[in-house]
Amino acid sequence: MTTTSGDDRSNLLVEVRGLCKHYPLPRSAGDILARRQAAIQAVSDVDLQIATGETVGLIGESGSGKSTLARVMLRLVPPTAGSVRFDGTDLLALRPAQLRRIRARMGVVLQNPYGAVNRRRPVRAIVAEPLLAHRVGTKRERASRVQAALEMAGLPSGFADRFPAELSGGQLQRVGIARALVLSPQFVVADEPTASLDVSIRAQIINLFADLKAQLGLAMLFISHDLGTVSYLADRVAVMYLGRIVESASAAALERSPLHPYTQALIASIPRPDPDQRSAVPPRGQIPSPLSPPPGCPYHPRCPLAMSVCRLRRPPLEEKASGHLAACHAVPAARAVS
Amino acid sequence: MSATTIGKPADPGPSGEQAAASQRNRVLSALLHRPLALTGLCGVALLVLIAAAGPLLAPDNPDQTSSHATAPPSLAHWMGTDQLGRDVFSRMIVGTRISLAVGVGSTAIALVIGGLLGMLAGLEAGRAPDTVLMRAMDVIFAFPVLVFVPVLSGLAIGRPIHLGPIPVGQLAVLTGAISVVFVPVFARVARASTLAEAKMEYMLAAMAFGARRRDLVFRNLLPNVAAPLMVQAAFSIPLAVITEAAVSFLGFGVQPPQASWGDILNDGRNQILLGDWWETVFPALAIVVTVLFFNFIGDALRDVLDPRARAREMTAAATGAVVIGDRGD
Amino acid sequence: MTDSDGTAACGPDIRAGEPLAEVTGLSVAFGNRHAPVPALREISMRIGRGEAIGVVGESGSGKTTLLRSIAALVPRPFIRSGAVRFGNRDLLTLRERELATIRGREIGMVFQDPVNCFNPAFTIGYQLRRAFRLHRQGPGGGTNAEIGRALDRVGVDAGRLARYPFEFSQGQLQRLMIAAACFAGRPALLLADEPTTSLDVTTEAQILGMLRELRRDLGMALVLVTHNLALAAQLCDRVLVMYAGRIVEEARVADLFARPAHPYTRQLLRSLPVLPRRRGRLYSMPGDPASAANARRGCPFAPRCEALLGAVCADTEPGLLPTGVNGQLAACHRYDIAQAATENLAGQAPA
Repeated sequence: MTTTSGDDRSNLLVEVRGLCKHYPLPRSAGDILARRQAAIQAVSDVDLQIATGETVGLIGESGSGKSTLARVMLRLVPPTAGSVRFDGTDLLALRPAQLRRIRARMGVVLQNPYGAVNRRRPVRAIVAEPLLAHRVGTKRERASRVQAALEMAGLPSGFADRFPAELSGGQLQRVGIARALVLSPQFVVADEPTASLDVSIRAQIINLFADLKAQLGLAMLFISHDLGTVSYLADRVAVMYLGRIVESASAAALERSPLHPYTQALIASIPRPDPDQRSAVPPRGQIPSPLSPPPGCPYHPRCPLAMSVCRLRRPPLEEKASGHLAACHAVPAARAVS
Repeated sequence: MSATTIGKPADPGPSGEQAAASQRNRVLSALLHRPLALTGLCGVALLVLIAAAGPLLAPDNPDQTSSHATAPPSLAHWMGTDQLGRDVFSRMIVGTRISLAVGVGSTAIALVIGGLLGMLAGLEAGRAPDTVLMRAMDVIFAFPVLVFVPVLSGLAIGRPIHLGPIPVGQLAVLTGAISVVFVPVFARVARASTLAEAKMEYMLAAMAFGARRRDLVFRNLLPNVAAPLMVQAAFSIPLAVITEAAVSFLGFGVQPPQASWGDILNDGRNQILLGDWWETVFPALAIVVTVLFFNFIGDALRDVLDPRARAREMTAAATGAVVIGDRGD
Repeated sequence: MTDSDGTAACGPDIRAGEPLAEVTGLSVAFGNRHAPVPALREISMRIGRGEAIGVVGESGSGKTTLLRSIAALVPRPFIRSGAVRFGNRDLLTLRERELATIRGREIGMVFQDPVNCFNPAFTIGYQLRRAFRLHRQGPGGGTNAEIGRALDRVGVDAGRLARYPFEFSQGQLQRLMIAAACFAGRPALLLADEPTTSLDVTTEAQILGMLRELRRDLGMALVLVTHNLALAAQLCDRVLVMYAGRIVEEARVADLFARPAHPYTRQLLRSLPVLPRRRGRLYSMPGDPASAANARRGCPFAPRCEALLGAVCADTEPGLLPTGVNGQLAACHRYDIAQAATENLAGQAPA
């Protein structure tokens, strides 16, 4: 099942198929005898495509598996099953040296700006690390690339000699962004880059990403729990619940007419900065544990539209409208003939 | 990109150079501004001076026997004489060199070896190398120190052990044996530190942009693991000194005519029954005082370099050390 | 105000119209005499009986310090001046023993990270029983029945009392903390410090609804500290906006969002990435939030302000001035001039 709708496949940069990541738990003697193997099913059967220059937003709450998906996609964590292709190359089949070379074409920005940098080095060294790791250029060339990356991230040149302890969260996040860009990657994964930042700075960073996207033609995977943030950056958005993608559509379509009940509940739950607009009734219950996802549709215990089939059979992720996929029995599929 | 640049920069703050030194500054300030640590620092400095100057400081020749045997402390002999008429004070001065050298030297060796092994184990956590290494550490740990070291050291008494073509003197064997005993401690500290640091996001980020393993370990991990190792060293040195003293006391350590504090203790063992206390009390005091000095330094270092303690301290300073949770729990 | 089981809310005896609690001239600075680190500068606010007040700010604003000061949890040496009156007593002058009877019983507290507020070594039931027994004024409080009722109110299955904290989710732990805060004693005032920040958005919405109901049923006053303006909009009657250790705006909730008076509030609201997505580029204000510790001459927001009046903004710090609308206050020189001239300038959009 694809998450883009009949797009031109030739410029697909990232292609994920059937990706699974399960963490087996230690077994007791009883488990071994009974041939039981409990596992945390962090990511199950995920398909995802990102075209060159496209930004895909990934939203979900805790237990959705969005961060795990990102790490498995970058092969920072080995998958349990499935494949990841980057520009046609199967990432999982690469040997360490080849993998390292391909990593030069990807950048990562993480959530916690303080933890993501080595606190004992100055900013210029932090941003230069990827260049050193790949033995790029001479010292002078590296210095100028570091300078360029810092400028792109909106940091005036005086910052190069500062240490992380002297910078604010927003400034440090820019350092992380500069580091992600210094190798001129084609693909950037941003995992909740604004969640730890002050509110007045979040907009700065969102705009920075928008500018970088426009200027550099980056493909991006932008992970967040907040659809508001994602909607300013993403071309397409995928919604995850308990390790699976439950809805995928263009950002505009998802915002305008979310199809999956979970997406609808998620959007309705976001508090509005308007005292006259009281938030709608939130979904009842809580997110189940990834240790034992409910049978059938993972959302059915909390779903207002749940039918008996929802408990028995897991709904496939299929096209319900042009370019708009959802995994729900209650939503009619697109007609075969449009 | 005017809307996305920083705009007016925030309060400048210290320059890069100052901040780089700020870790050093913090350490220095911790050592200099706390009375106990300062005492420890001065004490250790004094000991090092004595060890370095050695025979030059001793009023008498430490090996010179005389007829004034077992004389109590007097103006002529500040710490009295032993049963061979040798000046105890001079022997103590010269003994400082050996005791300190063995103590510091064995700790240094253990730190390097144990630190590297521990980091390796931490990086391979859960897998075969980790298990093998840590179980080996457990075995060493479980071995009774005062059996292991004397035996090894005793083997080299009188005749040097040969590592291939290289003869290794008895003092070196003693130092080596003690360092072996201390390797597990450093390995454990290094391993725990590595495990904690490896989970930090900057390691993940480094892996993501394709850093080489070697760079990951030496550029990123090592500086952060080094700090707890330093703290441990400050506490291990005095233990090594005590171990050497104990082994020498048993007679398996440094052999005459060389003498360490433990040897002097050993020589005075029988005298104390006759009421001649000076040959045992002074070496014992010296050991105690040395241990205290190093411990003072270690305490101060730990307060400064232990990241968790620092975080707590910073939070306390910033928020007034609020104690939450006072709900009857 | 009584609860369904007839027990009256604990709280100071105050005459009608008097505020339940009042903070006057509070200044807090950490550090020491030689190097003070200011956190709050001359804060004054009132909390009416049953009123919900939102305290909104970013890092360095001092909002958490303010909450802790109200609960008298800031060590005395750091309180440079001011008073926190609860009823007719100044909490800052009371001894710890007296404060311990007030906290938990008359003032309930809910904190950000529920995991850290429960002892992992004891069951939830044990900890709740202790809390109830400690704070109930009636005879033999803390019966399982009472605790069970409290759990029902917050939506946690009473049968799980024998479980340990690690067996509950974040959202459930937060509900339990709210249960303990609201029902162990019978607080007239609930202090909440970022109670939903570490929760998922759907769980946050559930807790939001629950807090609304509890407030309505128990008649508790609420002081909610949050960085999330939208949360304040949903839950509070009045909102205080803090910046660099001072209150820069105070208004009824409807007025704050419809007609924000202070440029900081205005700019902040404009920069929120809300749904439905606004057309065009998201507005963002430059710079970083100022902290009380770095406060210099003049208005602390001046470096980032888009409605600067002139040199006066860099020279003098504005006091909290009335804007002339419904008692709305803003610490901005624009309202000073407006007072002298006409009232038409109040609420005017920045030039």
